[in-house]
This record gives sequence, C-alpha cells and structure tokens, in this order.
Amino acid sequence: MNNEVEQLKKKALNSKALPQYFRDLLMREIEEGNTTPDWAKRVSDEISFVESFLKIGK
Amino acid sequence: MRVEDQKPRDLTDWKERLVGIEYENPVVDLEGNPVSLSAMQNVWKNLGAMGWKPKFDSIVNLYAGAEKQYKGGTINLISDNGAGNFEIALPPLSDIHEAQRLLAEVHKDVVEALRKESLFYLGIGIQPGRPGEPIEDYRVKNTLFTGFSKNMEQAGGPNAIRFGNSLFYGLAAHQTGVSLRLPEVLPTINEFIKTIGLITALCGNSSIQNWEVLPWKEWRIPAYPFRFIATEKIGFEKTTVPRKTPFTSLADFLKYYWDVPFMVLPPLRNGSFVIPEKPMTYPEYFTKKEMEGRDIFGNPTKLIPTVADINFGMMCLWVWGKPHISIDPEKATVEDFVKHFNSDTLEEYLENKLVNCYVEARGAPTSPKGEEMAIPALHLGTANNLTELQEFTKQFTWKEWWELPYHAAALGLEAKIKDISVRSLSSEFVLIAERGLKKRALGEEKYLAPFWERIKTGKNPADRMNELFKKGKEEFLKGVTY
Repeated sequence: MNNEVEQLKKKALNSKALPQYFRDLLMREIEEGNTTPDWAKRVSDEISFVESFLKIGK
Repeated sequence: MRVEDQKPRDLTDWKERLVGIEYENPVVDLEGNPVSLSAMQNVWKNLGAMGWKPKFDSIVNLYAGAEKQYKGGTINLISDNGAGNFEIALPPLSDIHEAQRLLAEVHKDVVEALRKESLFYLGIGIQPGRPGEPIEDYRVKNTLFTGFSKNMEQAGGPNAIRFGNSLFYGLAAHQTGVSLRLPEVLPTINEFIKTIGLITALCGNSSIQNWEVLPWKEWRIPAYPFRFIATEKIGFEKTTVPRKTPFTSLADFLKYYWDVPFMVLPPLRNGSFVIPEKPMTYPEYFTKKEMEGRDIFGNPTKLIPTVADINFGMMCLWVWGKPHISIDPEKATVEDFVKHFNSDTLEEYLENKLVNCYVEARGAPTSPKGEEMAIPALHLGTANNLTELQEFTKQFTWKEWWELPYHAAALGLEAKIKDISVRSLSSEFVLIAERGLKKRALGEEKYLAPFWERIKTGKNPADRMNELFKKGKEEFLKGVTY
C-alpha cells in the first residue's frame, strides 16, 4: 500500500465527520486495491474539508 | 414511442409560475432495513391492481415503476436506483394547493401498496439503518446505472458506480421545479445556489444512519463532494458541487458542468445508452457530424448528435439550483446551438425556441410527515420574488454563502455567517418567500408555517428527529412512518 493510501486509511479511521457506513465503503475500496495515490489525496482533502466545518462553533 | 423520440409538452405558456415536485422518501422493512429490489417488484404489481400502469424495463427484465395520467401530465412513481428510495414525481401543477391535494391521493395508494408487503414509507432524508445487500441488486439491475457504469468504466472510472451509487442509496430529497422565463434562469440559479445554506439550516433532516446519531444534522450536503470521488478522472465531482464563483451566462454555466472528461450519461438510442468509441465531452460530441458507438450490450450503433441529445446533456448535472431547458427540435439545430454556445450568446439564440424552462431546487432533504408543502412553497415564493432575494443575498460574498451549507449541515439554525445568526437570516429569507407567494394572491403562504415554527424554536427537523430517536428505535420509527 503506498504512502498516500496509508495516510487516507489512517485519516478515515480517525475521522469524526464520516458516518460509519461511509467509512466502511472507503475501507473496502482501499482493501480491494481500487485506489491510486491521486485518488487517495483527493479523498483525504475532502475529509479534511468536511472535518473543518464540523469543528466550527464547537 | 421511445423517450428520446418524444417531443416535450410545451410548458412555456404560463401566466403564474407552475410548480412541479419530486418527493423521495426512504422505504424500509419491518426491522427498519432498506427495502430490497425483489420486494419492490410486488409493490409495482400492487399499484397496478390499484389503477396505476406499471412500467416494465425489458432490458433488465424487471418492473421499474408505475405511472398515472393527471390533467395532461404524468404522475411518475419510481424506486430510485431500483430500491431504497421511493420517488413520487408530480407533473407541473398550477399551485401548491393542487400539489397538496394530489400528493395526499398518491400517498394513500403508495402507503397501501407498501403495507401489503410489510414495508414502510418514512418522512426523513436518509436511510436510518445500515444499507446492506440490496445494494448488490440495484448496482446491476437498473438500465440507467448499467449504462452509467459501462460509460464510466470505458472512460477510466471503474469504481465510481459502486461508490457513488451506494451514497445515492442512503439519501433522499424533496426537489421543487418552478417555471421561469429564459432571462430569469441564470440569476435564479445563482440565488438558489447562494441560499442553499439557509435551506440546509431550515430543512436538515438526515441525522440518523446505522441507528446512530450522525455528527451532522444534514449529511446530504457534506456527502455530495464524495459521491463521485471513486473515479480516477479528476473533475467528475463537478456534476454536483457549485463553482466557487457565480455564473455569468448560460454558456458559462454549461461550460463549467460539461468540462468533465466524458459525457456523464451518453446519448440514448432505442432505449439504451450508446457510448461513443472514444470518451469525449458533451461539447466535443455536439460538434461531430456522426460517429460510432456501442449500446450497453456492445452492439455497434451510429451516433448523429441531435437537439434531444443537447436537452439530455443539459439534464446531466445535479447542482443545487439546476436549470431545466428543453429546446424545441423544430426551432433549433445542433450546429446553431454550438455556434451560440461558443460565442456565449445562448440566451439570445434560445429565446422563443423552448418548450419548457424551469429551475429545479435540489438542496433540501425529505420533509417530515405532514410538512411536505413547506419546501415547495419556499422555493416558489423566492423564485417569484427574485429582486428582493438578490438584494438580500448582496450582504455576503459568494464565498461566504458557498461555505454556509457545511456550517449549517453541522450546526443547523445555530450556524452563523460573519457572526450573524442564520436563524435571523432565515427569518428574512422566509419573509421574502412569503411576499413572493402573496404576489400570486392564492393563499399559498400558509404552507410556510413549519418554517416559522422552526425559526421560533431554533430546531430544524433533524433536531426533532434526534430527540425522538433518544426515546428508542421503535418510537423513532413510529414517529417518522406514514
């Protein structure tokens, strides 16, 4: 597993914003090897984006 | 006659704006799990016995929905992607009163047809349980998504259908179409995109999934950027998420959403999608004289671009404020459309060449039971009071409005823009809708009542659902079931 995908896996597992069902879908994509470094980077950026809004006002 | 050969009904000759509504609602079994595709087959047969005309999809050999004629239009019932969501699409109607009467009649049949199979129709915006095996059914047994999947695969996005479709499965929305004149299209789209954060704050109703309270009061909005990320082709997410700057013309809008590596849904021929041999964008396709493609069974099929293909291509985007423009094939040509698309003069060219023109508001989740007319009234009222809406939204930048849906998805009516409370902004927003409805003098402003209650209490439907869920799964299901 390349570094970007490894990072994505860690981020998804620790994300407070992602529902469990969505997290499971992501994990399945990763485990089945349906990933590229570019894809992992984009998904990772999206997770950071939604996480940032969840924190606002808390 | 095939869908692609039909001339659309002329709906441009209106005096007061027409309203068309699509209601998507989750359907669950006795345990609260999503309905399976096979259970839905019996539902369509039940509706057939109740006077509806079931629709059989011979390509996948399954019932795909049911329909009934109403005053020259059609009431369409479908099961979104084969299972999970039940969708009721009402034809364009003269006012909200008529929509309420018609929906009550349709609900009566739908609820009865579902109950016969021990299935239940819910007033929430997300499947509350965990989507399971039924996903396997609808991934493959649906013409639309078979074509979509093959198209994506050919263009290098092998995982997108699994991923995007799975997200589709969980989410349900109530979408309103409101008639517009052509010059109103672009400003209305921009205003509807800007105010989607207020819609999210007021209407949030997607907070329980997996039998857990989500960290978001509304998951529909945060989920959207993820829907198509499983494709390796960058840019595909553009089909839904708005641009970070306003749109300046119809061509500018279409250029943005058509700037994806391939046609999101390829042209239809003889009831099947036809995928060009080489992936190409919609504008590239419209400039070709003819080309070879293959239908979803792999049969070679010749493609010659038509005005119907342009109409279809304009539908293949799903932004919060979506224009629906149907060009009359007898008054326009593909060549002239391309010329005016390239010279940014589509508004001038298309004037008096349309058979339908409306905006579809796509940002609101499913309404709670008994409050189904509030969202259509809000969209109809604001579209009918565009100048005031434009004045109101001037107080914040596009970027500030653009970010609000994410704040509002997390915080509901407690969200703020630049320290200004969304609750007070929502009050001004609903007043604009109220004045817009009063201009029609039909008494439709009464349907805004649920919003005044939400503003008064500071609680949107998700807040109420979360409180109900604390009492237990059974109490919750009882409270949201029709």
